Amino acid sequence: MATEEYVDAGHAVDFRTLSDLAGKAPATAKSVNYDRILKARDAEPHNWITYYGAYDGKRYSPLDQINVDNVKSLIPAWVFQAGSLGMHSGASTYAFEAAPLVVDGVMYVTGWDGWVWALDARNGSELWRYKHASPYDVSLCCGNVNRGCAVAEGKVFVTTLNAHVLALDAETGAPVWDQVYGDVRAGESATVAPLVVKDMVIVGSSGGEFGVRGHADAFKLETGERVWRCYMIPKPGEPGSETWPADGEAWQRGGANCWTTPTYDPDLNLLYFNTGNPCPDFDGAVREGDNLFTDCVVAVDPDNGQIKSHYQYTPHDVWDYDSTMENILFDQDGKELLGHFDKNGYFFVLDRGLQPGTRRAVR
Amino acid sequence: MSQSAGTGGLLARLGKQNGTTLGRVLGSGTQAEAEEGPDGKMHATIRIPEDELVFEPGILVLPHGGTVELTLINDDKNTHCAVLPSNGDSQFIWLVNHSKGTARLELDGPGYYWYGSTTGNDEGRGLTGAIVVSGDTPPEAKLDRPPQPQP
Repeated sequence: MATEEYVDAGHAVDFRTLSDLAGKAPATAKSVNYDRILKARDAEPHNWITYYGAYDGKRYSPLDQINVDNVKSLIPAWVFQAGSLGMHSGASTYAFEAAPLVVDGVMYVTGWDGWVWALDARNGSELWRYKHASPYDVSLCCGNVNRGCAVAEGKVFVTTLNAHVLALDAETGAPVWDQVYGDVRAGESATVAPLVVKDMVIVGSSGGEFGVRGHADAFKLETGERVWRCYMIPKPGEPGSETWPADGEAWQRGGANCWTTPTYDPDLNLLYFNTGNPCPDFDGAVREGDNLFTDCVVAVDPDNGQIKSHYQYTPHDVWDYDSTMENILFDQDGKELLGHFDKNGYFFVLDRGLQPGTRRAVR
Repeated sequence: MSQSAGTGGLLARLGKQNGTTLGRVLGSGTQAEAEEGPDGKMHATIRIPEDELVFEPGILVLPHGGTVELTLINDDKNTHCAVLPSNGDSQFIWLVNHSKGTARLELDGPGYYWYGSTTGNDEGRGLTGAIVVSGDTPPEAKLDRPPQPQP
């Protein structure tokens, strides 16, 4: 080994300092709050401040500058190129799966493997970036992905592969708080785009292929304090537990994960969660019964996390029919309805109250 | 496939070509545990020996998540670098011939992370290492159910 004095290599730097990025975004997210999200589609159609664009899940924009006549003429205005550096989990399946949010000219978008970017929506230039270090050995059934973020009160909320929920400063990307809400050693992970409701951020767990018990969690926007957890598989004795074997342990690993964003009805004050498959996916013999609340829409009170009602799209699923497609809220003929396209091939229309006999139509 | 050469001799030959990836991690990799200071920060030294294209130790073990301060030494007669995982952003450092630097990482646990030298296809030739964070998920994040077998 050499004995002469070492050359001073200095201290490692943030990788982003090697790029030309501003490091700061305008403070547009500071005034985003529950009241603005309630009116998002009608009051500020130039923005997209929450997942789905509005609580009802319609993904509809009233903007009319682009229409059926001129859509063929669209050309790219800019391209944001995000590279992949070094080794990361799910190398054959990583991808963009996020819908960006836009707040008065700032675009917030998440990527695979813990990336979060703030971009100038006018030209695609990078304002700031955050990169969460994702453990290589997290159980990922279906890819190294993230489905998006939420924005409110000057913060950007995002989940990480290792089942943390983070609040980042919307101007700088610096962490404000960090809460763990899943157990990676039990097979849990997180990919969901969070939803802001009132003074809370709502998230859900992934891992339905790995024998977990699906749940949704709520945290205070300001502090990250946990408000509630709602399990989507009942314990013995709880409502719905009769749909699991009485003498077995199947409920402990039953699935029903909430890996897509719920919709929300502010008038009924109900969150509509879209739950995933039962576990094990294809072997129903070890879990006889309907297996509630897998493959369901589950209506949850956002103030306390209690399940108020449900409808099951595929009882005792043995085909991996996640019912995680959104439940779209709409009114028709004076009725408050909910529409859901399921992986089982049917389109369901339900009364939003989800009371017994709630089904109105199935196509 | 001939097995007459004996596993030890074969590994020794592979180790010269590519100590970490072929000869050590997959065979009998070198490991070390970070030392924990009174302030709760962890400390460790990682070295690139001459002519081996490995990080030593090949596997650094942290007893728990948190802050680890690394001293990085390049004893090789070639320039390398390190791109290291850390919450917030990856940490980058050039390590020219016979140089020494530092890095500070923030990592969650439990889990393991890869890092490597991304210059000159060093990663392809074996200059990668692992940081394994021990520990467990905090109780409030765990599932409410009877204890299950887990790795």
